[in-house]
Amino acid sequence: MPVWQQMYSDITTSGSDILSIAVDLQGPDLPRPFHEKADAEFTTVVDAGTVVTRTFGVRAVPNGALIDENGILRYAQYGGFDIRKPATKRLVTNFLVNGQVNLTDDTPVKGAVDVASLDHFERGLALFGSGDLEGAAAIWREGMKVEPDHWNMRKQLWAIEHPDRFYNGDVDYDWQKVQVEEGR
Amino acid sequence: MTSIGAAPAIGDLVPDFTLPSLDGVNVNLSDYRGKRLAVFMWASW
Repeated sequence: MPVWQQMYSDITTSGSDILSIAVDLQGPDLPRPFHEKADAEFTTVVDAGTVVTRTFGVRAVPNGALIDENGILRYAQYGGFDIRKPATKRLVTNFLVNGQVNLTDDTPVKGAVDVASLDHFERGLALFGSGDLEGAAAIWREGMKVEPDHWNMRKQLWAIEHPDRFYNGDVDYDWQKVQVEEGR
Repeated sequence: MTSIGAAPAIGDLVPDFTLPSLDGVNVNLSDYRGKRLAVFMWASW
Protein backbone atom coordinates (compact mmCIF):
# COMPACT_ATOMS: atom_id res chain seq x y z
CA MET A 1 0.00 0.00 0.00
CA PRO A 2 2.77 2.53 0.78
CA VAL A 3 4.42 1.80 -2.58
CA TRP A 4 1.13 2.48 -4.34
CA GLN A 5 0.71 5.77 -2.49
CA GLN A 6 4.26 6.78 -3.43
CA MET A 7 3.46 5.97 -7.03
CA TYR A 8 0.20 7.88 -6.82
CA SER A 9 1.83 11.03 -5.51
CA ASP A 10 4.84 10.78 -7.86
CA ILE A 11 3.41 9.83 -11.21
CA THR A 12 -0.34 9.85 -11.55
CA THR A 13 -1.66 12.83 -13.48
CA SER A 14 -5.06 13.98 -14.62
CA GLY A 15 -4.76 11.22 -17.22
CA SER A 16 -4.13 8.30 -14.91
CA ASP A 17 -5.31 6.87 -11.62
CA ILE A 18 -5.03 3.96 -9.20
CA LEU A 19 -7.90 1.88 -7.83
CA SER A 20 -7.46 -0.44 -4.87
CA ILE A 21 -9.96 -3.28 -4.45
CA ALA A 22 -9.94 -4.95 -1.04
CA VAL A 23 -11.49 -8.39 -1.20
CA ASP A 24 -12.99 -8.96 2.20
CA LEU A 25 -16.19 -10.80 2.95
CA GLN A 26 -16.50 -8.90 6.22
CA GLY A 27 -16.68 -5.46 4.65
CA PRO A 28 -14.58 -2.31 5.06
CA ASP A 29 -13.43 -2.59 8.68
CA LEU A 30 -10.47 -4.92 8.10
CA PRO A 31 -9.00 -3.19 5.01
CA ARG A 32 -9.56 0.37 6.28
CA PRO A 33 -6.50 0.49 8.60
CA PHE A 34 -4.20 -0.51 5.72
CA HIS A 35 -5.54 2.32 3.58
CA GLU A 36 -5.34 4.86 6.38
CA LYS A 37 -1.88 3.84 7.57
CA ALA A 38 -0.52 4.49 4.08
CA ASP A 39 -2.28 7.88 3.92
CA ALA A 40 -3.61 6.60 0.62
CA GLU A 41 -5.11 9.33 -1.56
CA PHE A 42 -6.46 6.96 -4.20
CA THR A 43 -9.76 5.15 -3.74
CA THR A 44 -10.12 1.77 -2.05
CA VAL A 45 -13.34 -0.09 -2.73
CA VAL A 46 -14.44 -3.25 -0.95
CA ASP A 47 -15.63 -6.44 -2.58
CA ALA A 48 -17.54 -8.38 0.05
CA GLY A 49 -19.03 -10.64 -2.59
CA THR A 50 -17.97 -12.05 -5.93
CA VAL A 51 -17.49 -8.98 -8.12
CA VAL A 52 -13.76 -9.53 -8.56
CA THR A 53 -14.29 -13.22 -9.26
CA ARG A 54 -17.02 -12.58 -11.82
CA THR A 55 -15.33 -9.62 -13.50
CA PHE A 56 -11.82 -10.99 -13.83
CA GLY A 57 -12.45 -14.73 -13.57
CA VAL A 58 -10.02 -15.10 -10.67
CA ARG A 59 -10.36 -16.81 -7.36
CA ALA A 60 -7.39 -15.59 -5.36
CA VAL A 61 -5.52 -12.38 -4.63
CA PRO A 62 -3.26 -10.43 -5.02
CA ASN A 63 -3.97 -9.47 -8.62
CA GLY A 64 -3.21 -6.51 -10.82
CA ALA A 65 -4.81 -5.18 -13.99
CA LEU A 66 -3.95 -2.28 -16.27
CA ILE A 67 -6.96 -0.77 -18.04
CA ASP A 68 -6.64 1.91 -20.70
CA GLU A 69 -8.67 5.06 -21.37
CA ASN A 70 -11.29 3.08 -23.29
CA GLY A 71 -11.78 0.45 -20.61
CA ILE A 72 -9.68 -2.13 -22.45
CA LEU A 73 -7.60 -4.62 -20.46
CA ARG A 74 -3.96 -4.11 -21.42
CA TYR A 75 -2.25 -6.33 -18.87
CA ALA A 76 -3.25 -8.60 -16.02
CA GLN A 77 -1.48 -10.71 -13.48
CA TYR A 78 -3.68 -13.00 -11.44
CA GLY A 79 -1.98 -14.28 -8.32
CA GLY A 80 1.31 -13.10 -6.88
CA PHE A 81 0.96 -9.51 -8.10
CA ASP A 82 3.43 -7.44 -6.08
CA ILE A 83 4.17 -3.80 -6.87
CA ARG A 84 7.39 -4.07 -4.82
CA LYS A 85 8.90 -6.28 -7.55
CA PRO A 86 11.04 -4.07 -9.80
CA ALA A 87 9.67 -5.50 -13.07
CA THR A 88 6.09 -5.01 -11.91
CA LYS A 89 6.72 -1.49 -10.67
CA ARG A 90 8.43 -0.57 -13.95
CA LEU A 91 5.55 -1.98 -15.96
CA VAL A 92 2.86 -0.14 -14.00
CA THR A 93 4.84 3.10 -13.99
CA ASN A 94 5.34 3.01 -17.76
CA PHE A 95 1.67 2.38 -18.30
CA LEU A 96 0.48 5.18 -16.02
CA VAL A 97 2.97 7.67 -17.44
CA ASN A 98 2.81 6.98 -21.17
CA GLY A 99 0.26 4.23 -21.73
CA GLN A 100 2.81 1.70 -22.90
CA VAL A 101 2.85 -1.92 -21.79
CA ASN A 102 6.40 -3.12 -22.21
CA LEU A 103 6.66 -6.80 -21.38
CA THR A 104 10.17 -8.00 -20.72
CA ASP A 105 11.52 -11.43 -19.91
CA ASP A 106 11.12 -10.82 -16.20
CA THR A 107 7.57 -9.42 -16.40
CA PRO A 108 5.23 -11.70 -14.49
CA VAL A 109 2.33 -12.66 -16.74
CA LYS A 110 1.09 -15.60 -14.75
CA GLY A 111 -2.62 -16.03 -15.15
CA ALA A 112 -2.90 -13.43 -17.89
CA VAL A 113 -4.57 -16.03 -20.07
CA ASP A 114 -6.71 -18.09 -17.75
CA VAL A 115 -9.12 -19.55 -20.28
CA ALA A 116 -7.72 -23.08 -20.23
CA SER A 117 -8.15 -23.54 -16.51
CA LEU A 118 -11.61 -21.94 -16.58
CA ASP A 119 -12.53 -24.51 -19.18
CA HIS A 120 -11.28 -27.37 -17.01
CA PHE A 121 -13.03 -26.00 -13.96
CA GLU A 122 -16.39 -25.64 -15.69
CA ARG A 123 -16.25 -29.01 -17.46
CA GLY A 124 -15.45 -30.62 -14.11
CA LEU A 125 -18.31 -28.78 -12.45
CA ALA A 126 -20.73 -30.09 -15.09
CA LEU A 127 -19.64 -33.69 -14.45
CA PHE A 128 -19.68 -33.11 -10.70
CA GLY A 129 -23.23 -31.80 -10.97
CA SER A 130 -24.34 -34.89 -12.86
CA GLY A 131 -22.86 -37.15 -10.19
CA ASP A 132 -19.78 -38.29 -12.14
CA LEU A 133 -17.25 -37.62 -9.39
CA GLU A 134 -14.46 -39.67 -10.96
CA GLY A 135 -14.87 -37.89 -14.27
CA ALA A 136 -14.86 -34.51 -12.54
CA ALA A 137 -11.73 -35.41 -10.56
CA ALA A 138 -9.92 -36.52 -13.72
CA ILE A 139 -10.61 -33.21 -15.46
CA TRP A 140 -9.68 -31.16 -12.42
CA ARG A 141 -6.41 -33.07 -12.09
CA GLU A 142 -5.62 -32.04 -15.66
CA GLY A 143 -6.70 -28.48 -14.85
CA MET A 144 -4.34 -28.30 -11.89
CA LYS A 145 -1.43 -28.93 -14.24
CA VAL A 146 -2.52 -25.88 -16.26
CA GLU A 147 -3.24 -23.65 -13.27
CA PRO A 148 -1.76 -24.91 -9.98
CA ASP A 149 -3.02 -21.85 -8.12
CA HIS A 150 -6.67 -22.43 -8.94
CA TRP A 151 -7.74 -22.87 -5.35
CA ASN A 152 -11.41 -23.55 -5.97
CA MET A 153 -10.51 -26.37 -8.31
CA ARG A 154 -7.88 -27.74 -5.97
CA LYS A 155 -10.27 -27.78 -3.05
CA GLN A 156 -13.01 -29.43 -5.09
CA LEU A 157 -10.54 -32.10 -6.07
CA TRP A 158 -9.41 -32.63 -2.50
CA ALA A 159 -13.02 -32.88 -1.39
CA ILE A 160 -13.60 -35.74 -3.83
CA GLU A 161 -10.38 -37.55 -3.04
CA HIS A 162 -10.47 -36.98 0.72
CA PRO A 163 -14.11 -36.49 1.72
CA ASP A 164 -13.27 -37.30 5.34
CA ARG A 165 -11.29 -34.04 5.52
CA PHE A 166 -14.26 -31.96 4.40
CA TYR A 167 -17.51 -33.57 5.38
CA ASN A 168 -16.84 -35.02 8.84
CA GLY A 169 -17.81 -32.02 10.90
CA ASP A 170 -15.44 -29.10 10.44
CA VAL A 171 -13.29 -28.61 7.36
CA ASP A 172 -9.77 -29.75 8.24
CA TYR A 173 -7.70 -26.66 7.44
CA ASP A 174 -4.58 -28.04 9.13
CA TRP A 175 -4.69 -30.97 6.71
CA GLN A 176 -4.99 -28.54 3.77
CA LYS A 177 -1.95 -26.66 4.99
CA VAL A 178 0.07 -29.87 5.06
CA GLN A 179 -1.06 -30.69 1.52
CA VAL A 180 0.15 -27.31 0.31
CA GLU A 181 3.47 -27.63 2.11
CA GLU A 182 4.01 -31.05 0.59
CA GLY A 183 3.11 -29.79 -2.87
CA ARG A 184 -0.04 -31.84 -3.39
CA MET B 1 -23.99 -24.18 -9.26
CA THR B 2 -22.50 -20.82 -10.11
CA SER B 3 -21.02 -20.41 -13.54
CA ILE B 4 -18.02 -18.13 -13.79
CA GLY B 5 -17.95 -16.12 -16.99
CA ALA B 6 -14.87 -16.09 -19.14
CA ALA B 7 -12.34 -13.58 -17.89
CA PRO B 8 -11.59 -10.66 -20.22
CA ALA B 9 -8.50 -11.43 -22.25
CA ILE B 10 -5.87 -8.83 -23.01
CA GLY B 11 -7.48 -6.47 -25.53
CA ASP B 12 -11.02 -7.07 -24.26
CA LEU B 13 -13.32 -4.51 -22.68
CA VAL B 14 -13.45 -5.03 -18.91
CA PRO B 15 -17.11 -5.33 -17.84
CA ASP B 16 -18.28 -2.45 -15.68
CA PHE B 17 -18.88 -3.07 -11.99
CA THR B 18 -19.90 -1.08 -8.93
CA LEU B 19 -18.35 -1.44 -5.49
CA PRO B 20 -18.62 0.67 -2.33
CA SER B 21 -15.63 2.71 -1.18
CA LEU B 22 -14.42 2.57 2.43
CA ASP B 23 -16.76 5.53 3.01
CA GLY B 24 -19.71 3.69 1.52
CA VAL B 25 -19.83 5.69 -1.72
CA ASN B 26 -20.57 3.60 -4.81
CA VAL B 27 -17.71 3.63 -7.31
CA ASN B 28 -18.08 2.37 -10.89
CA LEU B 29 -15.19 1.12 -12.95
CA SER B 30 -16.63 3.25 -15.75
CA ASP B 31 -16.04 6.36 -13.60
CA TYR B 32 -12.40 5.99 -14.66
CA ARG B 33 -13.13 5.95 -18.39
CA GLY B 34 -10.81 8.41 -20.13
CA LYS B 35 -7.95 7.64 -17.73
CA ARG B 36 -5.27 4.98 -17.65
CA LEU B 37 -6.00 2.92 -14.57
CA ALA B 38 -3.91 0.55 -12.49
CA VAL B 39 -6.14 -1.75 -10.44
CA PHE B 40 -4.80 -3.87 -7.64
CA MET B 41 -6.82 -6.46 -5.77
CA TRP B 42 -5.70 -7.50 -2.33
CA ALA B 43 -6.87 -8.87 0.98
CA SER B 44 -5.95 -8.04 4.53
CA TRP B 45 -6.22 -11.66 5.64
